[in-house]
Amino acid sequence: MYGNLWVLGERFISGKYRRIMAAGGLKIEDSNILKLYSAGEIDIKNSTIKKLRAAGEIKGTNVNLGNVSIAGDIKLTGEVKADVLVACGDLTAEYLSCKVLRNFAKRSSKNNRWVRSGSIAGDGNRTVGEFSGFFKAETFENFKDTVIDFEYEFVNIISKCRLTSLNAIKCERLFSFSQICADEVNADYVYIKPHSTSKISMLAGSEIIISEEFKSIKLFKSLPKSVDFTYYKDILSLPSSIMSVETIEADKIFVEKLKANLISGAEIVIGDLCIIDKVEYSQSIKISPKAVVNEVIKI
Amino acid sequence: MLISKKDLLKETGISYGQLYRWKREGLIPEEWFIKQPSFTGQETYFPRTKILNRIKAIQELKDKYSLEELAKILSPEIAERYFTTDDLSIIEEIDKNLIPAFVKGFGKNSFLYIEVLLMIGLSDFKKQFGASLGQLINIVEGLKGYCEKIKSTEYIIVLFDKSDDYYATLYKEQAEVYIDARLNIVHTIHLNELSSRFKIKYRKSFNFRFDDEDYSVQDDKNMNMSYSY
Repeated sequence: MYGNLWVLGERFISGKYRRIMAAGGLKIEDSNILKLYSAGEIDIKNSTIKKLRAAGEIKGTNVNLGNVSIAGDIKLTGEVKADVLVACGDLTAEYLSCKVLRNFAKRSSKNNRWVRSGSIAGDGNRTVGEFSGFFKAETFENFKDTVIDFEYEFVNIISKCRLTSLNAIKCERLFSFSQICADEVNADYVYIKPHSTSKISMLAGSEIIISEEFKSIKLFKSLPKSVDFTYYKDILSLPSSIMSVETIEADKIFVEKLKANLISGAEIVIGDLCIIDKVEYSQSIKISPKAVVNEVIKI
Repeated sequence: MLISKKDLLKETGISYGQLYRWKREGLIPEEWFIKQPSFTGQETYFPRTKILNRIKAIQELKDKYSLEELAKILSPEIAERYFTTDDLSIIEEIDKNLIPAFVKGFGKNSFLYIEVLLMIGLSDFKKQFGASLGQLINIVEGLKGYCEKIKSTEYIIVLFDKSDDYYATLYKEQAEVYIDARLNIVHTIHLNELSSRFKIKYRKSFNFRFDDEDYSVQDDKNMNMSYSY
């Protein structure tokens, strides 16, 4: 293995390197690099990079990546694998498989408005962080307002900003700490912090919780993530408001601050500030005195 | 005939969690969730026979295969491979004596998956109704142009007799088809059902897209083909 490399200007690189610091355009082929820090465009083919921090446009073909953070547009062709990929720019991928995929940089909730706008100062019409292609990840961390119109297979979705989908959102575990709008959400476990601008037609799964209070800390901590739980504490402390869901169907349901037409399940708890037209339960039901339920049926 | 979601859960004993997990995994097609208006808003119904058979199949097979594998077995997509005449001879459901007739009828020696399903269906048809080789060749010649256009197994073939010969019509499962009442329907072939049974029985022999399998199924060939998906 070669040692460290400092690169200025255009350069072609091939081989094994411990660390590369580059400013300028890089072409990397058939390489194995432990750490790469770069400012400028990079074109990577058939290579492995364990740690990549880059500002500038990245093109990759058949690349194996470890921990990656890129401020700039990314275009990936062929099969690309990554451990953790943080994309702060547009991401286009033919087939990207990650352990953790995040669509924006960490920012505190105090500055969240900037992230939610999704625009760059001076270029107000252009939204950054658009995904297109196919993405597979154990955990997708949504750190900017996102409309899902790309193909995906996510086991876990953690959403810190507005998440919108015209179709069904499907995953195993969904944690939504901000607004969420979808025709259908189908997940084994769902936690949603209620927000008045959230709207879901059909919410289905095994266990569904809509609550201001977040109690699933143990499960949440066990998920693969690029940032730990403490980072989410500030958004969890923000006030919540009554959200709307047309229908909820699940085995275990706990809801607060919810307006719904129908809730159907086995074990149901209707908490404070709920207005529910009809509740169907098969095993148990608890209704808060601070909730309004029009009809309750044992099925 | 439809069954409501509540009745389905009651009748099968499955939970909401299971139903929606199987939907996520593609084990239950989206189009089987039929929303109909009710006085509470909307209620979901399913095609009764299809969903009950599918749930029975999932319950019987889920300990043997992962949900991902089951989705591949039960999904109606067309397998991406050609079958040679040697492959046909492995398939027990194809009458070996009919293979030359199929070769002649299709005018080729390698066959699409949908054509193999047609051969299985016609072998069964011959067994039941004793159709002649010439009649089978005529049916194949009449349908072969459409087999290449079909992109899924969700099709039904209806056979009827007229003037000492058999004729066929091919249509999509959900489609409403009205056949001249004067025609006598003698046999119906559901390609989707044949496909499900075929994939389970011959998954090892023809490697139906089980890319990363590391499990062993010893008795594939002896698997009881009593399911009707």
